[in-house]
Amino acid sequence: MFRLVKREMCLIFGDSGAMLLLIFAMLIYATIYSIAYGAEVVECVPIAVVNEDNTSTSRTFVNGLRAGANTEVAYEVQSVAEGRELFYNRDVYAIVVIPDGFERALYGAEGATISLILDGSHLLLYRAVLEQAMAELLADAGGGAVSLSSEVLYNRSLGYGSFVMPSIVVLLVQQTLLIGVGMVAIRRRKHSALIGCRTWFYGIWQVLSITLTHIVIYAVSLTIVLVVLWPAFGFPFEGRIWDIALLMLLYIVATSALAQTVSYLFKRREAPILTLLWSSVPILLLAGVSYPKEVFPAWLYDVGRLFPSSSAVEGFISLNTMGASLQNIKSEIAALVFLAFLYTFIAIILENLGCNSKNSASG
Amino acid sequence: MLINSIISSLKRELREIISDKLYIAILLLLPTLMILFFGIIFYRGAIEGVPIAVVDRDFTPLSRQMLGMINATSGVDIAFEEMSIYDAEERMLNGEVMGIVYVDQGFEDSIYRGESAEVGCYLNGANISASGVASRDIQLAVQSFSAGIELQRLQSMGVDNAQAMVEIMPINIQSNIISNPYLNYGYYLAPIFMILGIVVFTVLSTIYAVGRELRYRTAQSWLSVANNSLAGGVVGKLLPTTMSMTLMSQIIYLVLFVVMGMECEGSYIVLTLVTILFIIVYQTVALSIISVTSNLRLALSLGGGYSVMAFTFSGITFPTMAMYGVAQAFSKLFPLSYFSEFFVGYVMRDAPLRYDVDNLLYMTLFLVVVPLSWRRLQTVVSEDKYWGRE
Repeated sequence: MFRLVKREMCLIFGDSGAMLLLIFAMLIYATIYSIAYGAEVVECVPIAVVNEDNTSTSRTFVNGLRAGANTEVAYEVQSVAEGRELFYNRDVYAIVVIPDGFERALYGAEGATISLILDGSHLLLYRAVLEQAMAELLADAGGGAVSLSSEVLYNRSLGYGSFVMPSIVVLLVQQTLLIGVGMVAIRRRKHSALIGCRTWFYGIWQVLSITLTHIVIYAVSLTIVLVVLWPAFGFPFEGRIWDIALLMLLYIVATSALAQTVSYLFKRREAPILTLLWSSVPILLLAGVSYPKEVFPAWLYDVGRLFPSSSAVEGFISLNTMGASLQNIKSEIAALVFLAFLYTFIAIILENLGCNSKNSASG
Repeated sequence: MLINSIISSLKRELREIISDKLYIAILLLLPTLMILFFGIIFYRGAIEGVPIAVVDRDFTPLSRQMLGMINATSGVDIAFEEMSIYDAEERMLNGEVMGIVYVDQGFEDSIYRGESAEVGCYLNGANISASGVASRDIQLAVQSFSAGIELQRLQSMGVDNAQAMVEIMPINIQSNIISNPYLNYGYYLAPIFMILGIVVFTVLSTIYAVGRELRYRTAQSWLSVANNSLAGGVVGKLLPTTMSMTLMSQIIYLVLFVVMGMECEGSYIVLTLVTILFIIVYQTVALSIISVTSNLRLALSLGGGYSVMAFTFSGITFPTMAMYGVAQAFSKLFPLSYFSEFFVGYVMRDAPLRYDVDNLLYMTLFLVVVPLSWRRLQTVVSEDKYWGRE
């Protein structure tokens, strides 16, 4: 088996394309995505204010928006048309209009109104501005009969990077394996076609040794990601290290076996990347985290469970971000064990069928 | 004649496509599958029925009424009633709920005594999109429950209805949402996700079209068919990809504007013309990648990475304006960043085209890679030392 692992390593390290995918892609992509999402929260969204009232009360409200973390009053303009000009030019992402007579209405009997012109085409920007305006408004309204005290657990600052990076890292493992293993497998098969296959046991050893090779490679990459990248960008790491290691071990085994199974579909080395690259985003969505599973049909979510990444994303977020225990993710663990057995079994059958057909063809 | 070279090269390319299943897959089959997938997953658009747990330690008519109002919202679904906050948190750790609402003993009593009663809400920050919806709907339900109580209290004191409403809510917010007024998740994400698919397949198929001639040592035959005109050969070769991806973009717009019911605020013709320009821009970038690397597989890896990464930096998931400075600068390296700005501005926000002239200019600037890499392309297609690389 050691010999087979060594041969697999040689195949990977002897091929710049495979090395790029199986070894460097994980680290390069994880770093680039961390840089993109590292800022975490949407702050200081520039807004324009049209203060038609211009009284001390309206100025207090504007000062509240100015002092808030979410918004920055970038422009005070005279008319909505001017504000709209800035909005179309992307100088501001919302316009707040305080109408003439605001103060009078507030202290009179009719109640005052503030108009917000918001941008629905970016929900994070929309939410940031609306939350700030609501906070100012509630501060003015005083306490009602029932007050709601909200607390965010786990990713307390609601950071976008902390939310999405665990899913991305898990998915990177699967997609780089699916594409990289396909490339290496075609070269390996050409090589083994020359030496021929021996027994059924050879097929089993073959599949298991490839899996072992991937465990070694990804143990190193994931350790670098979690030990270097995670603290560098301040992403949460609440989990127990051995729990995470076990989850990842099962995940790599299931994914490696899936990749080996899928690799039998390909006859040319460029085929894996041409046909599988596009699937990264759909598979990420199917995990039901970065895009909530409540939005799409349940059957589609169930289909997504066939990919090890779906269970691993949920499991990893629970362990890593929420500090859950293995007990909490037992259904994900069970799913990964099932998929690991299923795909390993199929990969072994295919390996032997491939060998036998080659043997009979050469015989 | 250049036109003859183009036609000869185009005919040869169409024959190649018909005889290569992989080529057909990336030009027609997989893009169609991708559009179908995104169409299904984004169709509903609104996040509904996010599961939450409640702990009602008061268990009085008023607490039940408030929880009933929370359950009646579209975004939230009370999936579990637990005896203690610990049990509810366990549900959250198990991934079964995204939020917990906690009503302590004495809730109803506090209200009857005219004191402010407190309701606790705990949200799962590990999933910000689902918990964001839960937070919004729980907040709205509690606010309207609270307003109802206040209204009754004021009415019992003889205050008339209108005056009571002013006392409860002294300032009203009137929201006017430009583009995507129903805050539909599908409208917000679907266009750029689908366009990303176009980018990926445009880049891959362009690299494949040229790269396979090098990989399988057929560059000479390709050029001779095109009467040794590289320009004619390249245009004829890349035309099927341009046409196929233009067709795919039309299907995408059909799905967005007809099936999903999104509004196209700008001119459809302008949108289509810009989309064709966008496809050609990505083709020229892909052409340069294969010219510089002269290795099909390496070019596919680099081109594939470049095309997928564009999505992150387009600012659709996380706004570019909120990214680190270095990430904002990096985002300028992808034509998709300019196209998505144009799409949001012109098609969704109804901004006049003049506000996006700069974006269109920057996008067009990418065409400069063609003269920069043309010489290299001439070399790699004519010298056999660049052929046959695996």
